Amino acid sequence: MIARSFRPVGWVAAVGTAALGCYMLSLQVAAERAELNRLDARIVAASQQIRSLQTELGTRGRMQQLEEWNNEVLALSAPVSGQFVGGGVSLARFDVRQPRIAPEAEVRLASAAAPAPAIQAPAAAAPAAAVPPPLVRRASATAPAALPAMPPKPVPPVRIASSEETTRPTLVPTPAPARATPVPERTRPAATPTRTASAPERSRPAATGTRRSAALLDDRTMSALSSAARAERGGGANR
Amino acid sequence: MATLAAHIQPARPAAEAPQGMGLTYYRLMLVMLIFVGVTMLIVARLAFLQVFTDRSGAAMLANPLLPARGDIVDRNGVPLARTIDAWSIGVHPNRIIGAKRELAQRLHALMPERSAAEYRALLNARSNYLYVARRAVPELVAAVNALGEPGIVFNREPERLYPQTAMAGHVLGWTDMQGRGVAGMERALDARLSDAARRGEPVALSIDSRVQAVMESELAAAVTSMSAEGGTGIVLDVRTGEIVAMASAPTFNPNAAGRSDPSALYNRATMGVYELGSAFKPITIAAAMEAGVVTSLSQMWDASSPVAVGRFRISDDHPLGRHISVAELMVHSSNIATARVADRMGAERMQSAFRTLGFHEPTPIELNERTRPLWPSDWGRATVLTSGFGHGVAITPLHLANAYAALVNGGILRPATLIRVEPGRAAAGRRVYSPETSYRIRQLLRLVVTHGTGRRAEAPGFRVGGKTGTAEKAGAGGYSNRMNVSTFASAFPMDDPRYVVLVMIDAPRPTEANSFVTTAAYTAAPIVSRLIARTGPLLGVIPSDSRDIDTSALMAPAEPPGH
Repeated sequence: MIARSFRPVGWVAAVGTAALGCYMLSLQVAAERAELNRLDARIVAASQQIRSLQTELGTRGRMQQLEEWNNEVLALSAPVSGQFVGGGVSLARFDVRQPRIAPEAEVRLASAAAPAPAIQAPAAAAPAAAVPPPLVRRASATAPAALPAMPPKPVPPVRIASSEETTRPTLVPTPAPARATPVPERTRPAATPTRTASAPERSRPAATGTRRSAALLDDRTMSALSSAARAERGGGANR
Repeated sequence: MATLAAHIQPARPAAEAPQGMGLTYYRLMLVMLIFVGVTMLIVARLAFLQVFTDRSGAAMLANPLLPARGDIVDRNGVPLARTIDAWSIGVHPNRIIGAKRELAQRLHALMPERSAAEYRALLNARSNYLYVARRAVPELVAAVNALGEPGIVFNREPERLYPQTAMAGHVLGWTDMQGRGVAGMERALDARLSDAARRGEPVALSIDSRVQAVMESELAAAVTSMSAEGGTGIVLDVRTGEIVAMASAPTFNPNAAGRSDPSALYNRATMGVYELGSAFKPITIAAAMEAGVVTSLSQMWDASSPVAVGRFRISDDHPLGRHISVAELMVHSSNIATARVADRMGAERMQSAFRTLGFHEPTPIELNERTRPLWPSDWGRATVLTSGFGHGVAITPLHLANAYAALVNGGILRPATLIRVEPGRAAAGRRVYSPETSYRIRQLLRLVVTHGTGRRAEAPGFRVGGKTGTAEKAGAGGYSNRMNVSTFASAFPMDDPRYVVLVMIDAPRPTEANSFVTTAAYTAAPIVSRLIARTGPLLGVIPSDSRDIDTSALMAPAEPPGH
């Protein structure tokens, strides 16, 4: 009874709710649309600002201005023909280590015969010793000696390295020698007044080449790389 | 209650009540209907608006991102001309409330380009609105606003801005206050730039702003140091006919074109006609090769004594006094031998050689600022002989640059253009020389630079080849001995030509900068050398010491008798 008499109220409520829902929906849509418009306006404003900033930047950095700066401060000049490298072959002539490549390739065959002569301590005798010892040492991948063309470089005072090199041809892939080597290398830049054989640095890349299978980027490799880079810089400066 | 109701129901009012009530109801109904109708109308209109109005379309009508005038950019997209919203300061003279005298003083202090009296006249004008300043910088607008005068108003209006200021001013031109192109490419492209459908896309010119900047700075330095009247420089792509750089000194700033010196507005590259002197010799020789007059490089031409024609005598600056080959003719730039070649060619063939290159008509370039060359009306023997080495026919430097492009690119003449050409879309052009002739000319031009008058144009590794041209300037009283038009027309790299570089200095004076010699070898050639060294890599030409065009075949006959 009561329910029946309240039915109209229910209807009114239902219709009211539905209408309100519709209205809210359209309000939502309108709000969303207004938001979109605002966003559009902001995009437009932003792109206008980008454009004006670009224009300002272009005007401030105009060619005349750049040239003035270059004349006053930078003093850059156009590259000359010698500074362009045409291809791999012409690039290769910048390699300062190039003269060593051929002998090394030859010596690898003899590498098994290494050990004996390398143990003389001061290595000062090394340049004097004729061809065979340096070749062997090079094959064993350290280095020392006698390339007369290279600039004199300090050498480790203690030549533990060389004795260690002699073991290397056996290719023991333990990390132990790798860790052992940095010691003389770190000592090298510090002291080392005795100038002797030329290029321990030069040979380092070769050493890393043989040991690459053992450890790819250990300390030794990194120091070899950096010393090679140093040597190359030195070589470049000499040119 | 019922009795009461029955009681007060009289018969008389009952008779008229239905009538009155009916009328009232009727009127009420009418009013209600009108209300409903109007409401329905409003609702219908709202619904219609809601459904059918495309608001996004309405927003697009005035797209704020569409510039009032299209941008002009260079071949790499660097903006050369843009339209920005600039401030303008205006005044409503009748709305001014402050003291006009004092206001005029203050305006003068802020904007000294006009006197206080002029500002006073402006403020007292009977007009409703007048501009005080256009293209005002924001600082000035803020300063004027701080005066607090309500009669002064500030507006934003589109203004044409040339960000590179004076660079490429002659190419770009400028616009008037209404935003219409007045000169240069602004005028040539006016319809395209103001077309609402296409102005959103920038127009790419063939200019490379880096090369243009180098050309202008080198040219300006040379013109200043040599106290020359002016100069012009052109870099032209020989494969497409695109003008990569075109400069004319003195320059002007298109941002304030009206305030510049009127003589600076003159574009010497396309408007100036000059007798370009010996730079014509390769054209004469090429035509002679095509006509079969010059058959071989070992053919000897008499340069032993001056040629007399009428009352003139054609002589050489450095007489050789013997017979010379074509290679020597070029290397020593012999007028006598060239005159003999031209004589053998005859008027008919010389004329057609020049006509093929379009020397009798304006260059087909987009700019409206171009001039018709001075084509001789009488082709007598004197004209024929002198035209062989570039006297008597006065052309614009652009004509010559275009002719050189045809000389070195294998013999195809293409119209020069200032609009960027998409790769592979170059104009077909027409053949004016055979590839063999073109190759020979390239060898000869290279020889001039390696062994001849053009040594100072050499840029190491760039294999420059070119020809000097020093002409006496024709003035009011005939030719002047001391005033030269010094031209160097060249191309590089000679083993595979990519660009023609032409530099002309108008009336250089002997100064320290040119070792007190005003010929092309000392004035124009060094500019070409510096320009090529600076811009060659930018243009994609990699210098190489190991490449060059083979000139050994020419050297053999040229060398032994020469030294």
